[in-house]
Amino acid sequence: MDEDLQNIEDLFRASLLDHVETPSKTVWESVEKRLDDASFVQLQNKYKRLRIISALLLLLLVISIYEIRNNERGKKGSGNFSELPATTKMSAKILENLPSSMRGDSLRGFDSGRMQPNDQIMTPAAQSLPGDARMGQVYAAGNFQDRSPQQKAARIHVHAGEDVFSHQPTHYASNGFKSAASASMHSYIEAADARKNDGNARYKPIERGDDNISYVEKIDFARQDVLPAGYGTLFNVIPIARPVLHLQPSKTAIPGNNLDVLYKNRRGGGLLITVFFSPDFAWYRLQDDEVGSQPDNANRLEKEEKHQFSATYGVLLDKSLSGHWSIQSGVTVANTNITLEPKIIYAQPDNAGNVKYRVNTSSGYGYILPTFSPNPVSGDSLYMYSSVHSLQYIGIPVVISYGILNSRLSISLRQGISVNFLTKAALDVNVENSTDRATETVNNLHGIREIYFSGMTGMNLAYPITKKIAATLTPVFRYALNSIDRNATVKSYPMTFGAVAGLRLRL
Amino acid sequence: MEKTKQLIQRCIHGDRNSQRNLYEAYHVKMFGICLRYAKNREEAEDILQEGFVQVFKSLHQFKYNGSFEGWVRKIMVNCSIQHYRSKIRMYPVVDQEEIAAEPFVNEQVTAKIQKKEILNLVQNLPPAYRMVFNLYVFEGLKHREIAELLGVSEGTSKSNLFDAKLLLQKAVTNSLKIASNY
Repeated sequence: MDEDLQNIEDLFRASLLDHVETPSKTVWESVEKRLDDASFVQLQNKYKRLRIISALLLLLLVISIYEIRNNERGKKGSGNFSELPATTKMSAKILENLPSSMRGDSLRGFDSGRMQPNDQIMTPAAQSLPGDARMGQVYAAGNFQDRSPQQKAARIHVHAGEDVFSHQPTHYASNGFKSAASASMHSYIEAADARKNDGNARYKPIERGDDNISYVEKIDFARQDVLPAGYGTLFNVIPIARPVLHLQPSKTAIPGNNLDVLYKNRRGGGLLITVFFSPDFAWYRLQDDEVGSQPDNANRLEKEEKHQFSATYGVLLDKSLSGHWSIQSGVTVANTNITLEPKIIYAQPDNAGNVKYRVNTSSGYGYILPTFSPNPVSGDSLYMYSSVHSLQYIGIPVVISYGILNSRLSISLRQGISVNFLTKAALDVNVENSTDRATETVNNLHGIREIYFSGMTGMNLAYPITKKIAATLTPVFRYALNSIDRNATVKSYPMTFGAVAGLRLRL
Repeated sequence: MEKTKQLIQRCIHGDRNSQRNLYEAYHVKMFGICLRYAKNREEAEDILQEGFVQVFKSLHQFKYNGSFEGWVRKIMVNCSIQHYRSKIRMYPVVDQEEIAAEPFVNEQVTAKIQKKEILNLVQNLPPAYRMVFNLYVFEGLKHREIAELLGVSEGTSKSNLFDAKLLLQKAVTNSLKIASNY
């Protein structure tokens, strides 16, 4: 009987092993149609990725331009004048060209249109005025720690000459400086009306004593032709440099004791360093990858694997870009551990042709050769009763942050991408056969990429502990933008949800 | 091999003529394989179609360190297994037809029964038997590999193979008798 059955095997093998037959033509037509559909989807996916990358690049470009412009403005408007706008240079030349009797002594330090902190500008019509009211002065930021919140905001002061329209002594001052100014002077302050956010600067007078004005955002100088008081028509009109203060409107005035920090941040000068630790809830999305006779596939691995404790820690630097926006980068270290359920593993040729036992994981695959089974043949099996694979990545994130609440508790939304470099992909396996047990370690998993990209979305909460230190908490969702595997059994897209707790130090 | 490599590269870049050429080069052989795993010609064509779509999608993964035909064949077998799994509501066998299996000589069978008829005998096997029989006899897999692939125990695989061969033996005997009557 057994012989007959063997005979059957041989009969069918001999008859059908090389059997060929032509299928109908509709098969190719169907294949072609499906290939068309697939390339359309591929193309769509490709362009989807391109669109995302383009949007991110565009965002970075806009932020960079904004950052550069903001830096320039910060340098010019914060009392740290390295270079003034063209209008100012022009004004300086105008002043230099005035008769010395009109200029007084106040032009010292005013060199070829370059202005430094504490340089003085004189408006010609003011020379007859007493004391500091004669001169337009630009003060560098001083230490106002011991003053009231309103005074703290008064980091830059310009006060100058005479109102060109009313010919009354005038000073232009930020709020904190008013008390030092002469009460007898008619004062007004011009402020940018940021509420009319239409791109055109509009100015409105704010009466002296309006305590809602917080600080000077920028100072421009404009040419203005005036007729000096008392000279009638004997002299020509004299051009003067007229300082115009752009003040933060009351709507967004800086409250409380955070004035220093926020003021500094809004100028683009703030730099924050955050040390953090994040316990992560990790999972992944798997897709079948390799076409072959591997017994494992995405469904199976998903059932067999369990994520263990995962965590991310690192250091991040925050650079403030403007009132709401900031950019963040630094270094992160992410660790993930995944265990595999017990299962049977089989021997098969490795990439070099040596027959070893192959272990498939969602992070790649490894080959082991236990000492008790040094020469397996293809198809031999072992029982793997436990296994854990560990991954470690060093990431460099770039995160854009938008502040939605700037009170004592500040809240900001975060969105970013990270380049992740693989630093460890290890596999520890315990195997046994009927008589022996062994623990094997694979230090380099195959089929795993050295670099992958991930995106992140989160919300940052920060609460000040001291003037320089704040506690932060950031629930963050991280997701792979490309798979971490290449030519492995499956494609794996890891995701984590972490509660990033940290301490932020203002430098 | 160099020509095949060039053809594969052009296929990877989506050149439709090259894809057509590659299909033309292998479809006849591969259809022969699919026919063994399928119940009928239509089902075999479905498997062949799915197999070639997979081939074109996975071409970039071919590493040129083995036979390309063997690689394509492997995909066809995998697609057959997938097809079988998707319709796994197995028809519990067993053909209880009381025909005594009689010994025969293979040459005698091949002389009297056409290849197509032999193929029909395999196609008429219950799906589970057909899968095990094909994987064991034509792909040379061991029972534990078959068991893993089909999600059954090794014992089931052995038992299915035995039953499949028994059924085929009876079917061959029957076919020989019919042939002798003509």
